[in-house]
Amino acid sequence: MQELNHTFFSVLRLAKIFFDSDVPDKAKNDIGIWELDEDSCYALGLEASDWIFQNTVHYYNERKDVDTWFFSDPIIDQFCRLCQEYEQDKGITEEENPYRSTIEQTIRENFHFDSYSYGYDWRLSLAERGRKCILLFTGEEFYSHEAVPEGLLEIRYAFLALNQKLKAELRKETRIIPLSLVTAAQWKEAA
Amino acid sequence: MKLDLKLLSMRFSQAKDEPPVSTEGVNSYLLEKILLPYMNGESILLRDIDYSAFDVEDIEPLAEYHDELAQAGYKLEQLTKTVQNLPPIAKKSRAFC
Repeated sequence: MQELNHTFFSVLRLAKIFFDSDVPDKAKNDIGIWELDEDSCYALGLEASDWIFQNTVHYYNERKDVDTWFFSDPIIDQFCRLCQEYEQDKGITEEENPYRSTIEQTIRENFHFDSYSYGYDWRLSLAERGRKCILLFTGEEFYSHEAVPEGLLEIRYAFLALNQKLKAELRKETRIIPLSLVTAAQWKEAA
Repeated sequence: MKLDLKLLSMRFSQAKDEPPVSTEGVNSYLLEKILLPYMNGESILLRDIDYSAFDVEDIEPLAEYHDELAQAGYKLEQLTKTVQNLPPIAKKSRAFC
């Protein structure tokens, strides 16, 4: 019997989380042909990270030895759009928007890895140019690639849930405003 | 070092016929279809795993079981090494006719 390295269990955990998620079937088919193998931990983490958000781009800066990941997706675009509508409706700033602070906190919590060699950021503000995205920077001594897909999935689920909440809240707003206007008009007429 | 072979053989025969490490609390699918076949050199494709047969929380007890099994294997290995390294000594008196 062969004694196993602990990365075997990390690969098993990653596979379980990935196959239970709502990633496209193509992703599951592609990852499905990989063997359950303790040595595939790093490569599988990289491969799976590509599939969580619809548009994922990965750059390697040879000079600085840093990998940069851009995660963008229609659900992130939708979140930013809905946030903008919500801020206009409520007359609040981006900083005062509780949905923005929730997603920022979710990103912080889920980009919390057992390595020191990484950083992250997000471009979700209206003031920032370019496509809205989440950024992850990993250095030479980043050893937690297998944990990245799980973190990304949690962030994705948070976006989906917040989008639903925002939509519901905005629907509520649009439903109440016309009713109150009608009532006011009716009162005027009645007077 | 002297080894009492008679006592050792008695201890072996007295030992209960049971797995070296308790499998209590270990998901049976993970144990029988994943861990043991893999440790015996079988290859398993990720698509062939039945993900509905276990929860994420079942993986940690499986890892703990593996560690205990490895520890038991290490102890057994130490014992075999000890026995192997003992030089045989001839009996002083004849033990047979």
